[in-house]
Amino acid sequence: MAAGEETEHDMELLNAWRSGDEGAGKRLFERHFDAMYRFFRSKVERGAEDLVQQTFLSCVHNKAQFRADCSFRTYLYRIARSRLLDGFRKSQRTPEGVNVDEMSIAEMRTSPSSWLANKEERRALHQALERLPLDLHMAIELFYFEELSASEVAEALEVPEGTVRSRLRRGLAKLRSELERLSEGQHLEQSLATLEKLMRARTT
Amino acid sequence: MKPEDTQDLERIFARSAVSSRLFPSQTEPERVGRYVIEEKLGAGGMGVVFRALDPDLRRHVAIKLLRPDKTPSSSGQTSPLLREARSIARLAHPNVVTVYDVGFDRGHVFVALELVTGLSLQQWFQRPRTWRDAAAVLAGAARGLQAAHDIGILHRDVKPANVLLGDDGRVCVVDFGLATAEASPDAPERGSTFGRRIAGTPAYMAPEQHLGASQDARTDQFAFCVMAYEVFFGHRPFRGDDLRDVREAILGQSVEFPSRANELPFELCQAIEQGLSKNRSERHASLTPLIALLDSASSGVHLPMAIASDPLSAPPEAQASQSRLDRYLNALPIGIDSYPEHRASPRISSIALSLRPLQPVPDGLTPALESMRQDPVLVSMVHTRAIQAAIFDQHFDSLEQWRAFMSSILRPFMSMQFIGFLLQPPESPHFAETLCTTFNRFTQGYELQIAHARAHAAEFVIDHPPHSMLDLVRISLCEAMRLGMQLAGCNVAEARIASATSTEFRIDARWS
Repeated sequence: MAAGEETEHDMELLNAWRSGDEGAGKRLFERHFDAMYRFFRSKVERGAEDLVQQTFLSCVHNKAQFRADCSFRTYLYRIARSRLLDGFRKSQRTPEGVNVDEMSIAEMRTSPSSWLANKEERRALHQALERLPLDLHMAIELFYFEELSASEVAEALEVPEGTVRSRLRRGLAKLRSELERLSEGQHLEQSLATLEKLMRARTT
Repeated sequence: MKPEDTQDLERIFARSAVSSRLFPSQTEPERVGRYVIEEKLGAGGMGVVFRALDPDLRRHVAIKLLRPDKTPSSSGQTSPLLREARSIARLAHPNVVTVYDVGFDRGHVFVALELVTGLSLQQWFQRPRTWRDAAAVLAGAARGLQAAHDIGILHRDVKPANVLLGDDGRVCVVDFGLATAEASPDAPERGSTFGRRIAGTPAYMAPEQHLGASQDARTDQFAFCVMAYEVFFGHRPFRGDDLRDVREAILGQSVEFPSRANELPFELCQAIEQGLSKNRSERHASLTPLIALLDSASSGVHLPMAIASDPLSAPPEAQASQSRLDRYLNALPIGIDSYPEHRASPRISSIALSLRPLQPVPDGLTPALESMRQDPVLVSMVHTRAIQAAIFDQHFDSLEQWRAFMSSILRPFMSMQFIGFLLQPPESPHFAETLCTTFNRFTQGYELQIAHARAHAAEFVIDHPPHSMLDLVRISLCEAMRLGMQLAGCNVAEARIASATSTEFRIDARWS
């Protein structure tokens, strides 16, 4: 992917949108909607649409937060993540001192989400993912599934790149053990194979 | 992108919804058929529901997208799903959500439904409700289901989430038949690897559904009774941590009623229990009896029990063949109701007759029964099943006294559950019913012990003719206690009233 070109393009569209060009805004939105929708849909039972809308509105209104040296996609994920955590804090009335980042989607939600997994082993993988602490979950998701680079994940999650790498390591180990706990027999092998495939395709 | 994928469609509609809010002038609305999709309302195992606008009729509808249909639309064949949706559209009933239209678009069968704004029953019963209100709502749902059954349509997924309470107070059953048509063999939701997650529905499925046997209207009846139980008592009758536990409970566990059940009319609990029979031939033939009971419960009218409604139908020869012993036994206020098989028997009817003041006194009645018979207050009490309250009035000055009395004689013997029932305030109109319900529950499957206990009580009655209603109740309690002890697992050889005068009351139990 020609990341630089796309980033520049995104930036132009964003600036145009900020100065009132709805058509540019719409093109930017079309380009990134799917990723944003996937991000929220996998984590909230309802209201993914609202969160996507808030995320895009934030990126138009909060000029100050934007740093020109990171890609637009990374910037979007950063806003998305903070919208998500805000939402969880509100809905959970999480007491002070509890770090939402360290909770898992499965803990924060009682009913299962059906992520974009059609096949059993993908489903297994996503269910295992939901049981991971959110910080590990997002690192794995952005790196392996959304194919951001490690430095982009670091930007999106606002942590150093070394932390991302260690989260990926811990996340994969935990994912494996969750998979073993959740699946049985054939499905486990399939799920592990899918995981292996993912890991081979993307080496840190 | 494959257009057949429901999740893709869901995403496309979500994009359109957000886009139309951010860029109103730039967004072409997404349509299903002619309906303009506005917002996702919810998703379940069986499809996604959107709010949509019907541009022709300028009204809002609910659009339900069902699973992708594999039948090629060009083949000229009508898909089974579409056919089923059409048959449901024939169903017009105030308690069934109206189907406006069915169609096929982007590989999906869709149904355009009346948009009901309000709560689902699932949401409604999360807050405290009176059981009268609950009965009224359930009666509406039962009517809708019965209307469908009348034209041969099964619901197949009756549960609180599929009953809507409109803001206008209307009760609507939704999702007819589509549920199972939807659950194709390749749908991974059910029985997937992850047994820890229950798809919700199995908890309402009748044994025959769990076993994969054929289904009929009584299958819906079972689910309806699970739902009724849940709405009344706040939890389902068959519980378990996972799919397997729930299934086992449904297949093997008998129904237990919580102590709150005493607030409900006895007949209603009994009817719910019958609807939950494992064997569908033991369930009601239709939902009609349940509808009648729910209606009367919601309006506060109590159905007369068999003893009060039946007596005139008793054949005269039945009276003549009565043994003295039977008369004594059946005159026990608790005893009569305790044995379901006797409820509508000619024998009980004749006893009821014998208690009527204007009937000639049958031979062999003791003076005590004779005095009862002549007491119009007592007779009417028998007929309204408020015997316990009458005893309270005649013999106790306060509720505390009554409770103290009851618990002093019961506590050493009975399981706490049984005591809980008996300690209900006797002035409650349901007190006697409660006692009977409890007793029925305790006696199920213990016919032999009942026979023994009855023989025991009978012996006692012959030796010690009852002098008052209180004596009768005491005898009944003795009998009840013996049973209660046995059923609670105590190894009690014998329990009998050692002394039963109006001033002294003692029960001796011999333990072995």
